[in-house]
Amino acid sequence: MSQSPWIDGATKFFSDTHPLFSRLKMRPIEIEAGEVLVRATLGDVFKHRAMSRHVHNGTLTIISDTITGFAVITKLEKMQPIATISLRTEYIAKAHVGDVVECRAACYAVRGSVAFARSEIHLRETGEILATSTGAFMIGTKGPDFQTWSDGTKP
Amino acid sequence: MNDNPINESPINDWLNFSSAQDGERRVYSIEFSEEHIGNPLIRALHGGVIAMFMEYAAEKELQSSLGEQVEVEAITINADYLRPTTPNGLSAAVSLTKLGRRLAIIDITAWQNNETKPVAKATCSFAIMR
Repeated sequence: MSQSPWIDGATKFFSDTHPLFSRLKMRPIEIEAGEVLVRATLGDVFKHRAMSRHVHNGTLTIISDTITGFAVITKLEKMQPIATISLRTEYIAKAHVGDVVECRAACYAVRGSVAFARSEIHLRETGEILATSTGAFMIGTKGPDFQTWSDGTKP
Repeated sequence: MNDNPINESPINDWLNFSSAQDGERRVYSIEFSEEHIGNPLIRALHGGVIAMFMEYAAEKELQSSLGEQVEVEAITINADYLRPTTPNGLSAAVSLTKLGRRLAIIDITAWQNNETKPVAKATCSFAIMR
């Protein structure tokens, strides 16, 4: 795992104390300024239909939104709250319950108070691409920032 | 409004999803769950969860139009977030913008307490496997 000032806070943010992220067993693998790699496991609750092993595609959008936003946060020199303005996701292949996936995201531009980021989700085992996303994020929105969480503040 | 709970899948249960007829349209809803929260500090709904709900509502509308025997599969979703959300349920209305033989384009608008102040909108494309 690479060194980054955000690594401790990120690990805590994706820990089991977060009801949604703990469902996805999200774990940061690499964190650099503006580039992140996070691993997740697709659990039973996201299964699309009772008689199928496919997870609902929206699960990939949840991961994409989380990790592209996280890439934006690591790009900022000063920790600030952000909010998604727009996110487009393309579903390339179906994911299955129990799949371990990795989401690699990069924040490739910041213009004023808007950041642009993209991500790709692939199967850890084979590298097969499951989804790609691009998003725009507003920087400096209202509310406590990521650092507040990493410092140990509880909701 | 929730006169028709739909419980045939785990994702229905996780979303707390239901739908109800509202005049000539169908309104889709989810009840709030702590697992729908994105940032616990401001207790806003996760953007990905909002998008998943809108996509699922679109799928249900399309499926009811085509019949359950026709398989549909989401290809893309483009979601725009219009207002901050609160830790409450969501509702959505769906519009079938294009319904072809192999492709459907569907627009969705989601709101919380006030339909005139939507919190998100999305356009989804679906492949239709007849």
